[in-house]
Amino acid sequence: MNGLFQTRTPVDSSLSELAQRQEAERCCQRAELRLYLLVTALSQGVTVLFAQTGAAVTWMTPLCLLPGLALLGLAALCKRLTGAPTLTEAFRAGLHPLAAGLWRGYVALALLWQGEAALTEVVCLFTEGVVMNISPLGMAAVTVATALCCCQRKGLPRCVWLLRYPLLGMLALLFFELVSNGHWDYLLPLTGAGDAVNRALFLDMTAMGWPLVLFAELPARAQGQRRDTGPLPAVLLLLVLLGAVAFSLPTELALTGKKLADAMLLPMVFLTPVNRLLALTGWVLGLLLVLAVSLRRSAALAPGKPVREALICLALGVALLLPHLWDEQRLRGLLKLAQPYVLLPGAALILCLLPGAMLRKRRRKP
Amino acid sequence: MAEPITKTLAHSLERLDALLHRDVNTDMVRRLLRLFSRDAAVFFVDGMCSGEFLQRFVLDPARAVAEVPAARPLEQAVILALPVGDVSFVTDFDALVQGLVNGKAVILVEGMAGAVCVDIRFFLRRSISTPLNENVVMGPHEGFNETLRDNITLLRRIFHTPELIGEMTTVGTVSPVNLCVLYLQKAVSPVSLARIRERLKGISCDHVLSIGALEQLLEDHPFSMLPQCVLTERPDRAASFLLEGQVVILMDGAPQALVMPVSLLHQFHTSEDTALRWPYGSFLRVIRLCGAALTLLLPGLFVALVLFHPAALPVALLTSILESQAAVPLSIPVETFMMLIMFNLINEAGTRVPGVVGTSLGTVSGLILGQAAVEANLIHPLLIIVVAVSSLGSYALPDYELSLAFRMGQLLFLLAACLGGLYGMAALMLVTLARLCALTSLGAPYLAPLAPRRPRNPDLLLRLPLWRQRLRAYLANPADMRRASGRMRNWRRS
Repeated sequence: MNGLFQTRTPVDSSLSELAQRQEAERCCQRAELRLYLLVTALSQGVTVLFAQTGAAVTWMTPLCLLPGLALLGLAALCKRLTGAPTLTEAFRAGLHPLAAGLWRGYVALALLWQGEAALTEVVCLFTEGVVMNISPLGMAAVTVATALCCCQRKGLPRCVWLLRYPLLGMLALLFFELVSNGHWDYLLPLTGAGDAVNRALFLDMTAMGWPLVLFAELPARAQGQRRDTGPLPAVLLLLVLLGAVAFSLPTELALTGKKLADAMLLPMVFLTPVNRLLALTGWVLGLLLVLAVSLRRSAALAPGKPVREALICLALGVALLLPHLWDEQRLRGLLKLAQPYVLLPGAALILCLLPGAMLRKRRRKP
Repeated sequence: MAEPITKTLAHSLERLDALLHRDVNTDMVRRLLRLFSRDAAVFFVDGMCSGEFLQRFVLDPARAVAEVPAARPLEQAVILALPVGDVSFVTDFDALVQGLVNGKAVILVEGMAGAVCVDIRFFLRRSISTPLNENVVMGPHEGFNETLRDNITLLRRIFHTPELIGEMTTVGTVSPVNLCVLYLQKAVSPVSLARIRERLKGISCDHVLSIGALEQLLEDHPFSMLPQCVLTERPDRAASFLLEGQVVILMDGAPQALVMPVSLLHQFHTSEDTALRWPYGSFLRVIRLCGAALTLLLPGLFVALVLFHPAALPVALLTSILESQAAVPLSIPVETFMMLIMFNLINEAGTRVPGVVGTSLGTVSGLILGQAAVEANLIHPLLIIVVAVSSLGSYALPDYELSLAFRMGQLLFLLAACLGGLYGMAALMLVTLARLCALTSLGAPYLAPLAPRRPRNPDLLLRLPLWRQRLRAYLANPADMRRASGRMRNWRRS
């Protein structure tokens, strides 16, 4: 009871007022990235991993996140070696400004790819899943317009920070219902659809954890600030939620959904109507946020206003093209084609940076 | 450059007559007299000076020294001869005219290169009365009136300290209006104060009609639907903002004080929250927040659930809605829009007609029109409850501008619900929140200390105990954040 009434932030902390404000903005940025990671990975976990491997999603998910985590570790090492606050700065310090530009370009393209994937899912959900009286073109236009309206440089991260507790509450509600519907037998067979499928899927899904690399772009914490947990809460939440999904549905049922909309709706099949509505609304909200964050972050990475506007135009153009590509297999095929290679350029760049960073560290020592 | 006043009285009189348009402005009065054996003249605006004061403090003393030679420099002699507290000497016509139109009497003497302004202002004004729009059960019952001096006095009566600074300034180029920028010296943030001064200096318009107009000239985001300042007519509420390190602006002719910077949550707080014990204050605040949520979302939620997500409603309720809806010729969205517009119409009509008639009008319109519309099968009975509850919610909001913003937002959410059901509402909520989080009031984040996080007291959504609220708002001077050092209740229960 005493804690409830206490003044929330100690004013006498060692941090200066400016540092406190910076830390507050960092919290918002971190919340934004955590949500981005959670929604993108959850979406891929449900629509690809769970739909193709069933119960094996419980251990395939951490496995598929491993490459991303390893890359984040390497990025953190590079940052430490170069003493740079962000990975882009580390590229500038350890290699060359051109390398920093390449890195920013890679991140911007990957963000746009992820944004397009989210857009596809929203359009697919509304035109084929929760069928509403709207054409794919209309849906794409409305979705992108909404995301663009949310693209506020400071507003969007703060909005995610503000929404964290309502979203967590909603997830907790859904988790309890999923768990109450579940059965231990549903977690078997642990191998899901078989080793061959799992192996092929692992190679396809190595990029599942690519948003983890974005955490390396967060500025380093100042002296006296608490060590933050980075992406850990989002990863744990993801594993818990996917575990609950696997626990609530038998593998045989999971493997029946072949269409994207079916795969997206499958975990909600046995929820009560109110919770299903809640889950769907949360899902749409999450995807909209992913699209908005992708647009905002990729625009922020662009070097100048013209490039920024060109990027947004590109995103809009693709959104408008989307309905013309609207043969689900064709469209998903296009997006899936890029999926195994999303992490590769980033990994190559970071591996190039590593020796440079080591050299810089050695040069700095004397 | 301002035109200086010359030593020749005839020239000054001629110049002043022209500046004051005395040939047509008959209330600009000129009275010739003798002072220290010289010709002199008194100017004043009829109705803005007290006739009794003029006689007692200007004309009678002038008569006493009419033919007495001046024993010291003329301006000193004139000033010493007048038994008035506020006397000033001006040397140019601009300052002279400014003093005159502000209600002072001006004395010009042959051979004196300037004029003496005597403050004998007295004009009709409303007395201090109960605030009209911010009623409370507990707490003081006096409100600001339209006189700047009275309003400053009301605040000075609360703060018996020279730390309360009142900077007098004016806005408006053709017809300047007097303003007072008030703040607590140690508590105010220097950044906020500098911003206010810069913005007031940057206002360039002929006349600022009201404090609402001033608000529009000062706010950060003029296209936003939400107000970024608080307007209050209660001195105790203005005082609480001053204690939090915010800046209060009083304007001549305005019975409200303008407070900047503020956050959205400040607009849900009332002075009663602090006057009451913390459980009651918290309870009232929760009620108010519920009211706000109901105002904004309830009509949209009703339409979304009935039209798009009927499965989420209990079967009995859904059946009842569909059965009664069968007799109504209009669709639910049209009905809801119609009802909300009707409510706003009744509200506006009730505000514009005189007091008692306004109340009766609201009751009669609400009861008779609602009853008649249901009986004529024009609207669904449940919809009356939905609209009535959401309207009650808007009345629970303590800030009139905020209430208007919520009523407009209600229509937007209804539109979103009609187009996309709960998903449409969620998307609009996201856009609204993202834009809200990006809003600022005088450069300070509008949703702080929630997003982004800032040092804060347990006095946001709930009003927890007063003795735990040791900090000022995050908007205060960071060097003086503490309102109390150590325990506030520094005693032991015996």
